[in-house]
Amino acid sequence: MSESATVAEVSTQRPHAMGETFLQLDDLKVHFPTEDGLVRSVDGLSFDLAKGKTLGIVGESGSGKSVTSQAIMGLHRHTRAKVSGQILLEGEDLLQVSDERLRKLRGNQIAMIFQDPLSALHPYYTIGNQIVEAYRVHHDVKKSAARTRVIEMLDLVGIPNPARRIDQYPHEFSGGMRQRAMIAMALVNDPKLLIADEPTTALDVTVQAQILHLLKDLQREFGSAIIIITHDLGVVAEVADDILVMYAGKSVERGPVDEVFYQPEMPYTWGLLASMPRIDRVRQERLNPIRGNPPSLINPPSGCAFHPRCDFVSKVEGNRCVEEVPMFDPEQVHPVRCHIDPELRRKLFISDIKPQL
Amino acid sequence: MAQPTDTAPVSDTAEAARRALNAEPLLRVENLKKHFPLKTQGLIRRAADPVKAVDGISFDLDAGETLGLVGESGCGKSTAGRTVLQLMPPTAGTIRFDGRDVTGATGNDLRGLRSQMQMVFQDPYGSLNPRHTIGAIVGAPFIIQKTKTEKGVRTEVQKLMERVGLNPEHYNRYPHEFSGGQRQRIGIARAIALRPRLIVCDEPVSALDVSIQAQVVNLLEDLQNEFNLAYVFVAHDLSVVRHISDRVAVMYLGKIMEIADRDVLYSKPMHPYTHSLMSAVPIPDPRKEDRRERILLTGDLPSPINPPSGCVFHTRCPKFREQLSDSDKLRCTDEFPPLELKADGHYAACHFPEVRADIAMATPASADDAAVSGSTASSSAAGVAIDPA
Repeated sequence: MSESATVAEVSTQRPHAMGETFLQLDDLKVHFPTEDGLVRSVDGLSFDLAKGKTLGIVGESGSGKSVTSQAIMGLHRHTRAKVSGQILLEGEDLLQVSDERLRKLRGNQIAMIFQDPLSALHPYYTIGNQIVEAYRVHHDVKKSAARTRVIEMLDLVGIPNPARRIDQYPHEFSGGMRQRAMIAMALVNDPKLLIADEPTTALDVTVQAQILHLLKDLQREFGSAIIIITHDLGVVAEVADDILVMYAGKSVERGPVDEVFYQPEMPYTWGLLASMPRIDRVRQERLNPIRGNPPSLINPPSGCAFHPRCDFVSKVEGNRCVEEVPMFDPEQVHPVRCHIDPELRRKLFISDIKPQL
Repeated sequence: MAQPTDTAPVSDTAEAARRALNAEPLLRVENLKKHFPLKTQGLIRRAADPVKAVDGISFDLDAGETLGLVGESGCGKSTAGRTVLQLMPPTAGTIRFDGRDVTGATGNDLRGLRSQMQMVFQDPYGSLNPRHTIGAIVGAPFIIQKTKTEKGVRTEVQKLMERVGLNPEHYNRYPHEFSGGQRQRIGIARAIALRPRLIVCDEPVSALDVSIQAQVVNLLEDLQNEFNLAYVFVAHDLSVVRHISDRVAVMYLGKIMEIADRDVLYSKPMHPYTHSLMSAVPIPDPRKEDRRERILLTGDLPSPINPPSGCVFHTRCPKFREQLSDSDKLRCTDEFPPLELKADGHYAACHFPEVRADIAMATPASADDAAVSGSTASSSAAGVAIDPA
């Protein structure tokens, strides 16, 4: 694949990778064999992330964003999933390390916040027990010391009266509090990489605002790298430095947050931006949905996976959109997986798309 | 608490026209309450204080109009929608539909009503029977209501499927063969089958992807125009509610805090709770996002079993905490603020309301943005000017 070829040459410097590269994915593929055929959930994904930076991964359900995060955490080991490519954490390939080594890294160097705190926390154990355990797995300390640390963490994430709350069960916490408790658990070992998979989707906007605020504060304090996965462009606009847009298991656009929001180039990103109603703009008479449905991952459309839903196929000469997979060069500041000529894309955005936003 | 609309001039033109004819609205809800009884723990289970899910709300809804109900989870917005449809009997209050009192209707009465008022549910996976074909699901209302169809139920169902954007050839397929957005279309086809006049939509698009959300919202709007449907649109997403609603009611702990025409509510919100809700909506615009003021609410929603005294919002109200004098605070803690007319067609339940025009429309980002928000201001002003005439 052309992508892996370009990636191999890169390594030294990407213009947008400020600071040292901490996490690097090279041509990651996660395929699930099923009775109906091979599901290509992630199909050749490459990106990198520096310390202290936040990457927002955006896409619809089935675009492969959650599967990517599970692969980084090593959650596809010993399952039927076929994983290939490289996931380099400070140069160490997470796909090659031993189970024991991964256990040391997981929870300690890399931690994850799940979407649904009620199913991610164990109902039989108190919040305190669960976080104390997470801490003692990686730190050889007495229970009492761990407990002090956990109370500190609960306080840090804004749980009132942590000394009392630590002995309560998950069902005694409200949704926002549970999410905070899970963030406390994820952060208790000062991870260098935090993956947040739809961390606020189940929450009310008021609580969501509190949690996003908290994530930003904690990043400032600990300097961790954060990957935030969401379908809500408003959320990434608020917290992310870089944005990666995924479609049908592939990256289709990546760039600094301002570029993706103010000069998006991929028609799919245009569609996402144009289809959401916004309270900060004049109300439109009609919304502009992306037509059609998300693609099948077993039989993805040929060529550019977005072509059956794209309004701009006619802008490309010949039948390239249908026949040829567009290239995606992760070396660029703002790579786009699209056959339309870059000059024309920018013109189209200004003439056709921007007025709709 | 009687709805103060009775005496007040209202800016909504449909409502004004109706008032001129002195007709009753399609739906009138007065002082609706829904309390869920609780039992004490232990051997002898006595009745304890109930959960006051909906605690005295009143609103009117005209034919062809959409009322948005917004609020945090647990504020009673879904319960309100379900009680209006008589899916649960109300504890108190009256529901008048098409000029007659339908509160507590049962049996044949209720069945008759069901063809007039329908519901679209949030969960497109849970609200369709997995063992029934789409044909059976969408055709069920005709069978249950023994409604005669011109060319048989099948033709009618296929027409409906086509109308909501499904392929009529999929008549014999099962729900699991459809995507989330398509399932929501099936639920909508079922709801409009008997040409109802009122549909309660309970979070109809919140389980869908952004691109599909827009398709379904557009479909709901088209159907409304075609069949003159009235919607009660329950949702927590303030952007979607603004798009689809004519009027919007903001709920908190079972009470309506503020209700106004959509443009008025979003451009000049008055209630401190509405301010904080709107300021919390993430805006997909990083530069505006950086500059805008966030009113962070502290703490969690109080328990609806023991709601705070006086104004139920005072425990979390930023204005109460930061701006009010001690004597003013006493009013908030002791005296319940009724939902009162504060400006033209704009009701708020607050002792110290304050118009904040800066909240939703964050400061213009550039020259063309400024021009755009200028035009909104003038259009809403025009709306007000037309009103007395």
